[in-house]
Amino acid sequence: MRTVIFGLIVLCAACAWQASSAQHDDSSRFAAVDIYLDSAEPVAAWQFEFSSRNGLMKIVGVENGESAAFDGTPYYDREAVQLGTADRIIVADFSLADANLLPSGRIRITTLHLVLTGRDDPAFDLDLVTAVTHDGRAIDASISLESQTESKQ
Amino acid sequence: MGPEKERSEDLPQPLIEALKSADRPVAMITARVDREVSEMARSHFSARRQPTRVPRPAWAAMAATVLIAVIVVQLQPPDQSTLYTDVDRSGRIDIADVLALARAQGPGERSQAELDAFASRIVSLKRAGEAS
Repeated sequence: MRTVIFGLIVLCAACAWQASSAQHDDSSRFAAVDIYLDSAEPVAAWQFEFSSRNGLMKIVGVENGESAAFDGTPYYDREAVQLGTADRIIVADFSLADANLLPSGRIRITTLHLVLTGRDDPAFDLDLVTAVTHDGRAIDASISLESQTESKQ
Repeated sequence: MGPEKERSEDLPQPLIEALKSADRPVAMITARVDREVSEMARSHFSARRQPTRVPRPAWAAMAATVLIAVIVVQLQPPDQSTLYTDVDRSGRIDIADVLALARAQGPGERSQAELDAFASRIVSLKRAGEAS
């Protein structure tokens, strides 16, 4: 009888250890991704969509960019981000500043803060929806991202 | 001769005749006649319309309902869907439409709150999910 009880205890301990190690493998970590817009002309409004290709990411924060013309936090779905359910995001902003104050060249328009899960490297999709001049003319701009250093949670 | 005979002979003749003429068998009303008379009466009175009179409390309730309906309609916010349109006619509703709306208006015509609401609608994941 004692042998049976001892065997059960050992079995439970083994199961608990296995579950613990599985959780450790699935640990989450923070990351930040800078989004850059490259435009030869001054930009008055921009919009992009960002998502994870392999579904191992949640967006947990959105930070404003470096341009004084876009001084506030850009528009995004705050509810989804606050609830931690945003596995993709649409970010946009516009500025009513004078044309000579609008940014051009390579500008960091926002920084996204993410929580990554799993061991695989994240794969992102980034699409520029629109970028226009102060008079609403579409700009042939490009968009790119740069990942910052990651930290374990 | 019986006593009754003697008594009737005491009455004057005209009275006797009058009594005899009044002494007729009672007219029998059959069930059929009764039914027909009832139906005639019913149809006669149903043809006459009773004037419809709404009691005063019902009028008050109707007036109150109309008043509440008017107040509710007045308090309804304006339809925002007309605001969220393809302002720049690019074939797509995006942040450029918010910029176009903001630039097209005169000062104070569209509030910052309305522009923010339009932009928030554009970036809403729920809306984007519905559209796709």
